[in-house]
Amino acid sequence: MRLADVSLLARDVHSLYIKDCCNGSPASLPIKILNNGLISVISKRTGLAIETRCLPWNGHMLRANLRRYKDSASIIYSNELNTCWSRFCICKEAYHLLSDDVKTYSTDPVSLVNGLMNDMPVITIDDDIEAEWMAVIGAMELLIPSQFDTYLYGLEASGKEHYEIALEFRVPEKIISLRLSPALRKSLDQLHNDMH
Amino acid sequence: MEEQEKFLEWYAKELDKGLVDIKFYVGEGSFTKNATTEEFFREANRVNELYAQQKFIPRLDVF
Repeated sequence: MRLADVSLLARDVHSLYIKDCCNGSPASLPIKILNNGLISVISKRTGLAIETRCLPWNGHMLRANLRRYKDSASIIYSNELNTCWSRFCICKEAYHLLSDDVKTYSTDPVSLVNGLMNDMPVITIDDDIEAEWMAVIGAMELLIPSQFDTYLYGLEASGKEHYEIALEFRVPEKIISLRLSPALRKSLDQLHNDMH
Repeated sequence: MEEQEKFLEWYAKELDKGLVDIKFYVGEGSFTKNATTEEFFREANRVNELYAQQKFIPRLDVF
């Protein structure tokens, strides 16, 4: 999947979000993910019953886990994650449900874990690496939709710190820093302009 | 490889239930230089146990 496809898919989901979750009115911040939010839209679009569960495990390695079945999916996340990281993790895993196909399914957990531990996101096949990175961008595009580009850049121009901007969107500060990094900003700006 | 074997037993059962894809999100700094796959699978097995026991935490702050 190309970056352009990620943006287009996020835009489609966001259109459905406005229709289904905002009664057609412009979306307000922060974007809702649970309780008639993005997850319900993604569930409708994929035909999967999606549950999100927070569990209290005392660990430092695993933060979240996606399990996709034929007709359902579970997104499990750690109680150690703060609000913003929880929201982001849920969206990132949900984005896999939207965009992945059989080619990018992970079917060998041992190779998957070995890859993670060797500091490469996923090494089973090249498509896995791309799918993981695209899911990060996809989650970013879902939580910081293109319609808020002007607002986002305005906050930055007004001198707000990335942490303060992150609070507005309820996303991790690191995600705001990534979104505002010159290279990604340039790519997404061009894509968003082409879409409008 | 006890923990890995335990996880793979769980995984095989889930495949029978229709599991088609599994992904782990580890985030930054998850692994120290001494980390082992056994430790990872111990954590994953703990998650499976908690899930089976339905030890779900309501997170009203996650909206």
